[in-house]
Amino acid sequence: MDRRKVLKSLSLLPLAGAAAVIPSEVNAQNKKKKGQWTPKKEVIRRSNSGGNTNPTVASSATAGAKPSVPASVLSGCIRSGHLLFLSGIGGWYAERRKEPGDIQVQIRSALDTMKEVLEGAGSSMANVLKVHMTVAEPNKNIAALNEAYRGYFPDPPPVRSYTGCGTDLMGRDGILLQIDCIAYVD
Amino acid sequence: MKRREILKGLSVIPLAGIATAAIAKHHAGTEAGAVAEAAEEWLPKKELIKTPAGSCLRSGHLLFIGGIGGWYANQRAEPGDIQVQIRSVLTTMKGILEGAGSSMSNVLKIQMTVAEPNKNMAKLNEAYAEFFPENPPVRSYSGSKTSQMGREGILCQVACIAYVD
Repeated sequence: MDRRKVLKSLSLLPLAGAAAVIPSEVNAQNKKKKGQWTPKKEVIRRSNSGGNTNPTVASSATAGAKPSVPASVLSGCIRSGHLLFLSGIGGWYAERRKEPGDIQVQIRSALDTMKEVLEGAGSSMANVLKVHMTVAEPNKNIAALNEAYRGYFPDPPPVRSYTGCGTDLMGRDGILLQIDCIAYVD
Repeated sequence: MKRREILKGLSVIPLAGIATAAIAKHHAGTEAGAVAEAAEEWLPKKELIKTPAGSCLRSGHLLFIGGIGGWYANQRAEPGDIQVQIRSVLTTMKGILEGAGSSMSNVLKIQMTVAEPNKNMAKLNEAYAEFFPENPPVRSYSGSKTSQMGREGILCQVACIAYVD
């Protein structure tokens, strides 16, 4: 007798979202199966500069508020399967805080934002797997940064890597760090 | 009766599309088993794996290794040049991956910071190629000055994401 062939394709598409082609019939069946890797790509948040739990932040910049400048070239947070991908969060945004502050002020501000974005997406700081940072003048700043960084992530903390550069190469004046992450979400 | 032949393909496609990792055929009579396998959950959610070479995090079938520096004073007296450092990094990476049940051939993505890349990348690549002879992982890097690597003497820092069965 005839046999039916079921092609099951679990596709991982981090970062750039190329599309996996799955026959629609099979796709429909797979959706019912527990453990199916969906969504393939879903924008959870348009921008990360729209919210910051830092108390010095202007009141308009609360969770869910629209950023003053639309981030048209990027998404703030994307979900694919059980992974969340967050865009780089800056240590300082002029529309939120008057003074840039030092590296500790900036890392706290960025990690508070990260926490808010993750929790808004149904995840948490405890679920963060990988962190990457760009740090201005790391030889001078990394020790102070680590002091403030410690405590944001329960054990085991995420893996981490960073790139250093001059303060004049951070993209904007005043900004001392940018931090992104990959996290798990149920 | 109709029976199903289930072809299970786990495709891992980072950035640009690459290859199929595993194909398993389930023949007549194994339908139940195949369905059970399809219901596989993404576990562990987050697990710290310690190996003699260093530690990494596992989530589902992915391993995350943090930035490995090209030089640690407690490992080697002299920092060495970029080739010494990238070999040192990738040897450590290999040790961690194998300790966690994976391998260098399962690396999907590499992210590097390289001091003075215009000067160092060609030499780095020479040594790098020895570690990924075929189907090398996708890779990106940032360059900076030697005085901006976080510590004196260090010339590269490399992080990766790898697949694990």
